Amino acid sequence: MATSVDQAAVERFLYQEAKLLDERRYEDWVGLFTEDGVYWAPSGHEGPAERSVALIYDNTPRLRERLTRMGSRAFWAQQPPTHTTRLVGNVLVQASAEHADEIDVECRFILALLRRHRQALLSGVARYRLRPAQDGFRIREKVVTLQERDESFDNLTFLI
Amino acid sequence: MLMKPPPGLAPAQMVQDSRVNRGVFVDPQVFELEMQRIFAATWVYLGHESEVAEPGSYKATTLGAQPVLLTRDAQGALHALINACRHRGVLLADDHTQGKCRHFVCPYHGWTFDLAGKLVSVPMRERQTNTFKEAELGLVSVARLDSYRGFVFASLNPHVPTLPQHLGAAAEFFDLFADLSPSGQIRVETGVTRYQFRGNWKQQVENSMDGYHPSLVHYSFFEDVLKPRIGRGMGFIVGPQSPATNVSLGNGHALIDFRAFDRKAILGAEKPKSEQDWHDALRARYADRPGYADAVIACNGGDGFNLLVYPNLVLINNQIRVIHPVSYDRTEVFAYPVTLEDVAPEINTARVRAHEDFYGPASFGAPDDIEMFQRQWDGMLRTPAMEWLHYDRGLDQEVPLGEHGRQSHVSDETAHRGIWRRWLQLMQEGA
Repeated sequence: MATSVDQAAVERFLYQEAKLLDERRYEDWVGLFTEDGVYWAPSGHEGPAERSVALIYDNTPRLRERLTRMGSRAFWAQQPPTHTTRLVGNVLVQASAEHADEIDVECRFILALLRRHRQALLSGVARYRLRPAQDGFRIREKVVTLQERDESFDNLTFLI
Repeated sequence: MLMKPPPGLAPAQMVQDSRVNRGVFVDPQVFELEMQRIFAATWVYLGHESEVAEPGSYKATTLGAQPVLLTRDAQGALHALINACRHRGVLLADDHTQGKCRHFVCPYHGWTFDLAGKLVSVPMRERQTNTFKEAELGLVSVARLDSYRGFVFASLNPHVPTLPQHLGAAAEFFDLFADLSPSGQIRVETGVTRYQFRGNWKQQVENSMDGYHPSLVHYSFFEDVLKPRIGRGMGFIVGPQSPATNVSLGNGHALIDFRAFDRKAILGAEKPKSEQDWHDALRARYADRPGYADAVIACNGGDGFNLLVYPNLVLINNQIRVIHPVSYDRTEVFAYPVTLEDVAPEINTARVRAHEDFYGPASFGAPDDIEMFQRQWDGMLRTPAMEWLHYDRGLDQEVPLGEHGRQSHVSDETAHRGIWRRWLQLMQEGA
């Protein structure tokens, strides 16, 4: 078993990540991922990622492409941008049973959205595989399971 | 019983040569009339046979705005039934759910129907009158049900032309789509990308055949993402020198035909190693049809074709797209990635990932289209002072194609004019 996991350090990391996302500091946010990182938001289809269409299934290069689009002068779905405010809580931390030196984290989130005078609310569970780093952690995997994953959306081009 | 035309303009006044009155989109009464004269009159796509592969399976979907059940009964036969109990109209399965069962049991009073729609049980049967006949109270069936290459269509009109007559020139594209599988069988089995917008169903129909918008609407994908990936942006696909065409196939069906390209994959950056095995299997399968395997292969990878089967089905790349009109101002779209039988698993995974690249509400393509639908709706809805929308691009340059078709440059509106001719024909029939 790995050594005891610092709950407070993980929580600080999650709050910092939420702050980067809400402040749209995307370059800094992508910097939190390992080079082999994965950012995955499943759809309602039950099954392994290889056999299931996802809302988002990004490796780190594709995540960088997502950010490139964010910076494009013609990214219409984010002009005007979606403003986000998220609360992260119910943080559960444990050493990974499968991956030495990694930490499994699960938390709940509520994400309030505002775009072009329309408000909306998303919520769900985020699961992380974190690798300790000099200055905190790096994200090996972030899996966002939206409560609304089986609904029809019109725009999920902000970062969850 | 046909509904009367709306008190505003008659259909023939609303669609004129190459201009269309905005009321066609924003008038709720036009929507009601479309549900009768288009969706209840012609063939409508309901689903793929692989979605109801096993006896006892069902899929709850819509035919126009009406809820229907596509079922496979215990004997293996397909049915399409109005999804409402014959007693008091209760929905028997939630919209857009799938499952397996022996019966549909109405949760209100317990009337029970088998998957062929037959009423098999009524609680406390002895209290019904002596004129009560189960045989007359099965679920309401569609008038016609037929399929082509596993694509199941239904019609509420008993006098509708046959499905092959209806599909006409569109049929060969179903072949090209399904024949990518070495067994000739495709599957819908990896889930669905759902999206919706506040707007009219015809906006999504038009957009699916629009080769004029990508260089601007999808600039952030083609110029900022794709160009670094493959070294080319959108200009070669839809620019003035593009060999791609915008095609009206007849019966409202339409095509954007990209097959003239020197094939270079657009969607899905990485090509699986087993692709060669798959292509070899296709060449072996079609050894007796010179050139056919390569014609099929040329349709894969994002530069094949976009096919519209009017009014509610689109085939694009790896995708079956189904357009569900909900109300005049609400549309839901289901985009299913399609997998192939008898290929290496990584081929199908790559197809799913390629689908996610451009389609769906978090992808790099569809959200920008949806944004345009929204801006278009916000414009059209509130502007009675601006009556007419224009569809005359390429009108003086299009040329005949086959028996009923016309074609022109990819960025033209030949497909759209064909769509509107069909709309007008259907809306006027029996008027």
